[in-house]
Amino acid sequence: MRSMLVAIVIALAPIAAAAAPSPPAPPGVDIGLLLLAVDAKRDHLRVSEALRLSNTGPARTLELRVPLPEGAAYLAVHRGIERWLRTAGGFTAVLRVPAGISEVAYSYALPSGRTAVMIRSFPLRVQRLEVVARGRGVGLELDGGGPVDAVLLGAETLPRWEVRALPAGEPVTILLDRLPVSHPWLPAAGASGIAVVLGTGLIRHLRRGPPPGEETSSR
Amino acid sequence: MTALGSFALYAALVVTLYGLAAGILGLRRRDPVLLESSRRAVAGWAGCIALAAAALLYALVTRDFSIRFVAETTRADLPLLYAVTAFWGGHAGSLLLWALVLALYGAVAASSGLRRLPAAPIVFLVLLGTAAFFTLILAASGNPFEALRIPPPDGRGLNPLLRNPWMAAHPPALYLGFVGTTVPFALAVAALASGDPDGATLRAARPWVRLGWLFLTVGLLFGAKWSYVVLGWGGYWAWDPVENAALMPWLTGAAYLHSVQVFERDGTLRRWTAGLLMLSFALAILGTFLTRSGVLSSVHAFANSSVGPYFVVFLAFLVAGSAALLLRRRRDAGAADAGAGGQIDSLLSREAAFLANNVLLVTAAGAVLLGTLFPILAEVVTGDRINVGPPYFNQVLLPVVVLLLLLMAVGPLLSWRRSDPREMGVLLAAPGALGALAALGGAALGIRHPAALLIGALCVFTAAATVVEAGRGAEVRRRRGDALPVALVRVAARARTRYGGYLVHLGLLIMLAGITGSSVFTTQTQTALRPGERVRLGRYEVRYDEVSAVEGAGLTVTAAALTAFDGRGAVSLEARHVHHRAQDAITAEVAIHSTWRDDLYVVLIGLSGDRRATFRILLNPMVAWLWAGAALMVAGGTIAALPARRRVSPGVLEDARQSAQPELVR
Repeated sequence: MRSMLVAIVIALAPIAAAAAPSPPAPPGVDIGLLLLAVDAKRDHLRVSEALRLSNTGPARTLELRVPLPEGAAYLAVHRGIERWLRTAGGFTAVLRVPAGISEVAYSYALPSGRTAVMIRSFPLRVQRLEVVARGRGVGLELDGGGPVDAVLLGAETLPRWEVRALPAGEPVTILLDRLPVSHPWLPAAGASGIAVVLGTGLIRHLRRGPPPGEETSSR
Repeated sequence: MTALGSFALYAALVVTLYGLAAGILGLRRRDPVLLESSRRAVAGWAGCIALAAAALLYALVTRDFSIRFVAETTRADLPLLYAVTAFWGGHAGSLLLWALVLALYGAVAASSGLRRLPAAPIVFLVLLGTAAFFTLILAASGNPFEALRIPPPDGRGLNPLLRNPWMAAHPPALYLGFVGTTVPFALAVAALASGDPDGATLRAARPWVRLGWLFLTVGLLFGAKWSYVVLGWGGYWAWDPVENAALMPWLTGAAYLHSVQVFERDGTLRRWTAGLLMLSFALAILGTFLTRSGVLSSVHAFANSSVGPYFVVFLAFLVAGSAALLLRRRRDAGAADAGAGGQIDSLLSREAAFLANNVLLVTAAGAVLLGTLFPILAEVVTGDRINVGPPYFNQVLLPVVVLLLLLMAVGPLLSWRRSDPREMGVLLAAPGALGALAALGGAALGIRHPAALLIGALCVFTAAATVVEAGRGAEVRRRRGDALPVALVRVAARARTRYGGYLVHLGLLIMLAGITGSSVFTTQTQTALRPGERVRLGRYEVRYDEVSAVEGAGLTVTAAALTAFDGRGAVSLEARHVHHRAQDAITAEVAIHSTWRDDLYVVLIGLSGDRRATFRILLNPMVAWLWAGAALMVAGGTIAALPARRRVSPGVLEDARQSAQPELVR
């Protein structure tokens, strides 16, 4: 049922973000936890991805090709990446991975409509992917995942879904709906309302004609 | 804010179009209800524009980067002052500023005594037409509320050249002057269209022109100061097309302020006076077009946009309309002038002086216009763009300035209708002697530049003549027992416009002396120095001390410390380079040590790896005179522009006494 719903939304959604192919995963390194937070703003999404890397081998330098959804803009790297280069389908990151646990974080923005479908895949195996969405009334679903306890952030309750044991390069579909959108027609509609009121008043006055005997002194 | 701002703009457009329709129909049907509605539409439009401006200001202050204009002109780390001034830091915002200033003038006009003029409906119609043009451009081509689908995390930031307090104030002041020509233009159109038999409509323009001209003066002054302290070329006026565009309505506005005195006195020069108001407005629109179209290369290129063709059409329409109105009224006005005695009785009269003054000022405006548009004209005729530079303007305008100075000396001393040549000779003897002494003194001091000697002597002659004229009024009161300063203040308070005008004249003379001194006698050198090394220029010896770099919010400031010795003491100076990291642009901050005698002006040109710094050092004589003269002009203009106190006529006083109303008599 959920798969069918996702398929329908993918077909209807104005923005369907496709994934680029991932490189083969290096042995001994995977993502223990990947937290993907979506902040739903008017007409766009701010997406933050925080990866907790787990390295069972020695420290090493990795070059990862991270695919980003189509239309991703304003990529900002916050933590854990030494050098990076924006490419057509995402970005290539060079990172120094120490033995044990380390963290990488980056964010980007995506255009959105009333609904959005993000197809994400990651260059490493993900033990647990958690997706949280923020925004009033925003609906969240993950194809192949399940809902878990919502996150309480101040007065807000954020829906949370998770997927476990996601193989490297395996796409996961994130479905968002009831996203905030702007109404670009509103200003014109408001002004049209004023035009109708003024126009109607003018026409009614013209039909009545000027009061008898009243004339302006201007020539 | 995007929705609110856009709504306000669209609503403004609707209201102006409604006001135009109501005004036109009201005039055709002689319907007072529609005419009143048209007047209120001016205020309604002003309210909508004010709302749009408030929305943009809020978006700038809160750095709402979902608006393209905000993202392109501000950054998160931009100081609040420059976030506010970013309002006019780009094309769309500066167009909105134009509209806002027009809204301000329009709202005042719609609620002032102008509405009681018989021709007021035409005045409001012209204001609404101008408002409709600017609102249409704003809504269609320069909407400052255009939204970005994905807002960037930070903005691009303000053009570094605009991050200066003088530039923060220059555009609003200039726009207050430019847009200040609109209400007088509307009054001129209304006067010509209605016939204006008692001249009340044309006379009503005078306070508006005084105010607009004052703002134009202030705007030009701020722009010159910005050019002097920011651009680092050592000058303050470059005959840049956009500078010229602001100077031209200033010249024609000054011409109006003189010709209207003749019109107010005997009703002559009606069409000429109206024509000057129309010309001033057309030149203000031309200036706005030149700033935005990019047809001529200018330091104001940051405001370039694609709205040039709209302005050309609007300019063509208003020039053709004005010409048609002037031609239509040719016969009527000729008759009115004749009926009012419309001829000059004597060349030695104040009317003749004002007429000559007008011819000279309009000639100067024409010469500036020709020099400004010459590159375009040359390109049309020859296919090559040929620029005319300062030599053209200096050569053409020097004779005009000389004749204007002579008129400025003689004109105020002349009587209306006819003057006695012998009396004039007596009055001008002392000023003439002082002028001659000034020329001889200059020559004795070694000044060999003929134009400088001539201008200097004429400045002294004219200043002395102005003092003689101002003193004549005070002398009458002094004979009645007042001390001379008290007499002068009292007589000036009674005739504020006139004495304010004299202050403007004196300020202009001081300014001209400063311009002459700094243009003719500037010396300069360019040199590379190591720390501790010195260079001599004129009476100054300048030592380069050290260089330092400081990181600021978005800026890296490299400062070269210098010490200047003039034989009596030492002053510390700091010439800087400011690297604006976001735009990767460098601006210079000039070090200036200013005295009444001269300005020591140091520009840091560059730094090399071996700690050597290259400086350009100028000694600009009498620049302080320029600013002081300009300040005096502004003070005089302010005094002249202050609203006149309501006077109770003797008849009213008598009535009041008879009806025992002590509060009126007191």
